[in-house]
Amino acid sequence: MATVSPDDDRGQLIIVAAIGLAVTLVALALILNSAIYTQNIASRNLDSGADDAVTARSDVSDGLGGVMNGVNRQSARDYSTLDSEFGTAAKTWSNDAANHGALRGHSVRVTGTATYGGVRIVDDDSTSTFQPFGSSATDWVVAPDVRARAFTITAHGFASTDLQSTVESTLDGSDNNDFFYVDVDGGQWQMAVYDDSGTTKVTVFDGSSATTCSADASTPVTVDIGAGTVNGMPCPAMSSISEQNGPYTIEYENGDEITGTYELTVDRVIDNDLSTEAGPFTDAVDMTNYAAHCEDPAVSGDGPTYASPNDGDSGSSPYVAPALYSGTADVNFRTKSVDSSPTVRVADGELGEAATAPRVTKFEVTADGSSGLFVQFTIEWAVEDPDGNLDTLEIRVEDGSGALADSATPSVSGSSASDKITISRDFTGTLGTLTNPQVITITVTDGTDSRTVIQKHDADGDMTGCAP
Amino acid sequence: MARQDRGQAHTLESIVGAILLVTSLVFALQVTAVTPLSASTSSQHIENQHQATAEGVLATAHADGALKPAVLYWDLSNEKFHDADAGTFYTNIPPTNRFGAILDRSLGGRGIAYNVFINYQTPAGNIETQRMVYQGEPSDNAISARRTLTLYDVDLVFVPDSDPNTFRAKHCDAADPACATLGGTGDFYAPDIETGGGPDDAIYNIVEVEVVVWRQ
Repeated sequence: MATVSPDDDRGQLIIVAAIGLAVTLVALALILNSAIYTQNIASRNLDSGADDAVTARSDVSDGLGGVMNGVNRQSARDYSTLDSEFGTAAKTWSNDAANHGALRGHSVRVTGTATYGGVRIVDDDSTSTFQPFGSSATDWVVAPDVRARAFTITAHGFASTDLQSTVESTLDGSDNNDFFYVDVDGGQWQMAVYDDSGTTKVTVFDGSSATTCSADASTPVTVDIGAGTVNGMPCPAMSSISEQNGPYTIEYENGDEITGTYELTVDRVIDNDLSTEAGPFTDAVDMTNYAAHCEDPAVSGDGPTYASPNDGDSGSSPYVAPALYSGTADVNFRTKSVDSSPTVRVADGELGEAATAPRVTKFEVTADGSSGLFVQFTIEWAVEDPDGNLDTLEIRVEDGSGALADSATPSVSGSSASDKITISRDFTGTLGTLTNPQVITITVTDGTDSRTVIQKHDADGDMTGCAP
Repeated sequence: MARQDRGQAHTLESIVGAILLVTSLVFALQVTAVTPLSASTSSQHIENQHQATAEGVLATAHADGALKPAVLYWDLSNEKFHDADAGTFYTNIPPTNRFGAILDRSLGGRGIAYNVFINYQTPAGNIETQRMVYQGEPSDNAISARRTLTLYDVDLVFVPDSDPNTFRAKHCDAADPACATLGGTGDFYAPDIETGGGPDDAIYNIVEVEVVVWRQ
């Protein structure tokens, strides 16, 4: 039959349509699933473990900072002993800290340490006022041209009462006579610690205004300037000390108004001999306070500012002792996806920026061969810089009248330098008579900061007396 | 002329077509993935948010200087945390110091529950746990964030400040016989793990503060 029925030509259209719809539905489900899966993958938390590595760095720095303070707090020992003890203590800390990490699948290890020496100034006699060891001065320089850390004052008593309103209005950078205060850089930053009718208070002047934090208690009160706390409670006003640039000079004013203890660690050094307080740092302090660097008070009338480390261990206060100012630790942090080996700087409770200024580590002057109008000194010197950019050095010898004998400018670079030089001048024909003591000055710079130490010696060919 | 005997074939075809359609519809609907991102209290997004929040809380507390006073906020004479309401730890209230205020502000009152543990070491090298805050057993989708702290022999314990509204903790009064440094007391929850007298004697213990957070 030629005619084809329309029914026959339909060719199972319903089934074909049904199959087509079914395939479309399944394909739609597949597309939807892909979109959901993509969104799932895209929003996963990428835990690379990198923030664990960053946290571990600050944990090591904090932990070893306290360990360094613990090493410093022991009885007096010299710089090399302190360095090796810090290395031992850091390894112990590392082993203990690793116990926690082992449970979490990561390992934090301290593999090596290095230290940068400083001086710890301590008064641990709670019945003593804040005055120098060798005199009864009430306004005196504690540390000239330094950076300090771990600076705490614990007040055990006060000589008088001062009202908060009076202190706040008179603490403005100028000189005050009624209450004890710490003065930084000649009035740029001041902190008064006083008793206001039975409550100990701390008022801080940051260069423009005075703010008070109250300890809400009577003595003993601990003021931690590095951490910014008064008796453990935060005192935000104290953080303005971090704005002080460069090395600063710390002075105590009216130190007889307060009794208690204090300690601070500064970034200059003293000699490695524990039986004497001598060294470039104490030379600078004594020269500032008493116009003489030597220990015999017979000529200069007062001094020295601090007792020796050994005398400090036997009870004299205040005293200086070799200490560690800062250090570095090589840390290795490993998890299954991260392996990081940073070097971490350790310096707990720094008042401001890290210490970068150069310093004099040795300054020994021998007056040999001087006689009559012939001045001759042999100077053994050593200088050091924490970030390795020593720039210039100058050593001057001047007569007491101001006439320059000679000056030497040995070239220095890198992170340390030392030498022994002789400076001499025959003043015959220039001066009628010598004005003793002669002034010997050493100045070291690194392009940004400079430090100076002055010693005074008689040009008499011997090392006796003061000036020697 | 239409064929007379194709009726049943058409019917069969339609039935098969319908079955095919319904089957594929059911298949397509039930194969749609329920992913970890589907809205529920256990979604991956929420876990990530909680992890970030908990790590931020610990970092903020540490930077503020509030974490260590909270760890040292131990009442030596009663052998519990100060103002603790359930044995030695807190349950219904956050710790009454600045760390507790930070926890409460970030996590409290939002349907988020948290536990705070302090994992400390023993001289034998084992790790033991002291609860600081315990609000129950965490759900399956809890996260934890940790921070390590070192305690030293010279650290003083902390006591509540006289003003309860400031949530500050302060050093105990050294003149008070109940006050002590960590090295001078045996009533602290963690023992002294370094007692050799050498340069490492200053270390008292190394603890880990662990915050466990989950959605209630």
